[in-house]
Amino acid sequence: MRKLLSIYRSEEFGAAKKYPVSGWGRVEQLFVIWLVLIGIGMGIVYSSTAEAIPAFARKYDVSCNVCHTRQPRLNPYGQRFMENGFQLPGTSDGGVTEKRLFGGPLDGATLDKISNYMAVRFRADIQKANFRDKAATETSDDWDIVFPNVVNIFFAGTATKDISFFLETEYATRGAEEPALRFERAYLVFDNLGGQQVANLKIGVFDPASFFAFPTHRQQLNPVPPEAETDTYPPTINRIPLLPLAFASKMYGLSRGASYVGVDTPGGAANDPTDSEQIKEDFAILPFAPLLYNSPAMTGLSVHGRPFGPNFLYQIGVAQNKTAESTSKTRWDQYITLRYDLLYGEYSAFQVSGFYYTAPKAAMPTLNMAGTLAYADQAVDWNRYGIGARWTSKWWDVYGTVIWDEIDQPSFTGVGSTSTWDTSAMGTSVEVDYLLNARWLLGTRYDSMSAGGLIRGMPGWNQPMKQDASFIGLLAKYYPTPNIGLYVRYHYNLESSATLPTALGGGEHPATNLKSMAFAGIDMAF
Amino acid sequence: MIHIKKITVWVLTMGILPLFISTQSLAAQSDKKAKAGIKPMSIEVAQYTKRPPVNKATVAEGRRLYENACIFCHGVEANGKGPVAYFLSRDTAPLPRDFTLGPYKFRSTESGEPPLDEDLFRTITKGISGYMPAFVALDADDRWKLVYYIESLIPEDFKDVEPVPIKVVGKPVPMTAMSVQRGYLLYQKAKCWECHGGGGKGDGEKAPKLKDDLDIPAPPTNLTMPSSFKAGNRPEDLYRTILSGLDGGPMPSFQDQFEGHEQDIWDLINYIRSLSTL
Repeated sequence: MRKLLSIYRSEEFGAAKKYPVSGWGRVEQLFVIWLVLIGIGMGIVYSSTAEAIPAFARKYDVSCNVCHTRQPRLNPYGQRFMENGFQLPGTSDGGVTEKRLFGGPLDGATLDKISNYMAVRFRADIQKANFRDKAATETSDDWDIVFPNVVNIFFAGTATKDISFFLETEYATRGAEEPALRFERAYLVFDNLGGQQVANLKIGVFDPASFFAFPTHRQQLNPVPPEAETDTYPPTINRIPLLPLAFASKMYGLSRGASYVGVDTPGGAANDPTDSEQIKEDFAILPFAPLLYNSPAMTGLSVHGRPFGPNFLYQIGVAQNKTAESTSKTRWDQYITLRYDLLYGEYSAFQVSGFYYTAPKAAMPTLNMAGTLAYADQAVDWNRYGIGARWTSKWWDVYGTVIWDEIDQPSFTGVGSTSTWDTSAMGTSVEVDYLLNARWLLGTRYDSMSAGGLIRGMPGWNQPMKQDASFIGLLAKYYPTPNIGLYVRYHYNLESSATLPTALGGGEHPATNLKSMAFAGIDMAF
Repeated sequence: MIHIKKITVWVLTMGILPLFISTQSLAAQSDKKAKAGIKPMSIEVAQYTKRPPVNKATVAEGRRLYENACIFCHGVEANGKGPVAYFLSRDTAPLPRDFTLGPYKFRSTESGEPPLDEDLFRTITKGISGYMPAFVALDADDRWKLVYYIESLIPEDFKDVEPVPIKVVGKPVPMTAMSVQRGYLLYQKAKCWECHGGGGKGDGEKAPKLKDDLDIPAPPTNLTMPSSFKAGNRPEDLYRTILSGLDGGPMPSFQDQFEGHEQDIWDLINYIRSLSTL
């Protein structure tokens, strides 16, 4: 059966889930298509006369490009706007922003119009995958129309001075057994505590890496989810995802432990961690899933600010999660981010940032011994650290990151004791975007993953085997208006010519099997 | 299960359609208010007569504020070459202001003269539609300090010019058919149509070739959309723009043409405001 995995979901580790592509009736499809076509048409019509379309642009009566290089990517001003709790940098404007209606500094200090809070982002595309070995995947390589792909509805802004909120819901036609709206991120920020830019307290469900030089969200080349099953071990990966591989877990041979085993199964013993039939979704940790610091959303709190002037940014935070032990407990991941910003010369800015993230007992080394699962003696700690940098100059936007992952050396007793593991992994992602003019953007991204984790289950046994991955992506995007991007993109697997040992059971390794993938689509916000 | 789908579709419909309506109606409401004279851009500098003193400390504080709020567009050297400037508008004017140069667009002084303090204060407070946010959330004292800092950047030779406020003769007149007709004749006589077009949509015969002092294309304002008037859309704002012009851009001062009968400008303004279709 064809499965699709949405790794950019809100739960821990990007919440790997499997979703059949079914249950979406023709009437509903046509209705949504009709709705979207109207939306695109109205977006073009109205944005041609007024560029300020999305919520914050409407609120402040400015072009989208005040905060974006090109939607969805933030420029340095947009980054500061987000840091300041969706208030203009250097101010605490709260809701006092309707420039046509105010009569004094406090006149009209009320909540804005709903259109100043609410925005919709719509993505749809046509896809074509090209596999090296079609027999090694259940995924289609036909032309595939994904329309709409994802619809995000945002509510964000300031409830009052220095109290801001963000709520994101997502409607994914291929992201659930039944298409439905669900929350992705939701948080409150208490801004400018102790003085302007001293401390901002963020509480809720959010992405820890939002202030990093290469943030997890807002890619010009939108993440394309994998098609995989995580309720089997090792996971079945029909098609690997296309996303910045630096964010990926990079580790083979890890699971969330026996606590992800079901409570009951017909004809078997309850809570049997050796019974693969009882394994729940998300059990297997995909080597390609963004997680920990780069999780798209985790529950937690963080404090960030610039108490030492406009150049240095700090962020410290904790994220709540569950340990991968047989009896799962609450764990508190801790992280710190530092960033240095420099505006210099003409039209130029540079920033460099680093982070450290530590997750106690975050994963369980796991072996599948001919259908029987064998766990390590204890869950391993997982540490992630990285550096990132960004340079913008005129119409260039160059950014990249190197992220390292380290786990404890797994310890097995019994049959797993001969397994060999690589406890470190590294990922690199570099993107270069260039605006040819106000309407055309060209981009390219290089992603590389030097994988870690399970090398060999036992002498002479090849499966599961870690495998490096690297992709090059090319993008051309046309913006008829600042809020609408029409694009074509192409990803090529640089490892697709590698000669690999045949995986247990035959077939191509998933990291090398996807040879290339092409897209044409739309990414618009209104 | 079908109910879930229906509810989902309904929720989407209820979510998206009102947004579209509110999106397009926002500009419409604003334009209607501008046309009807309902306190559009009603802020007046007169409300802020109490100013901090001009001294080294307030200028330095202005610089600090600049580095937190303005530097991204106006640049490290205040020359309008901040990192956001290119992304915002490189192909068409206006670029963010270069504070180290003399000519200022948004003034209430005669063409070629520096702006008044109040002009800078007003621009900071109200922003520029489509380009610059309104910084009304900054304390008035902080806005004055920003003014002081910006003024400290004005070239010395330009500083020596004593700005003369333009003369405001008369006051807005009711928008009667007769007034609009007189305004139409003035629109023709002053050749506003050469740039702004016969219908005021910014599509005049000279429009494609207009450039600012930096040699960047500077399309004329679409007069049918008051919400996009960069210097403000109140009658007083239009009066100021027509008389003082927008220095550095292709919009000239019409002070000479209206000298001696400045009160006629109010009729021209009524005609311009009548071009709004909303």
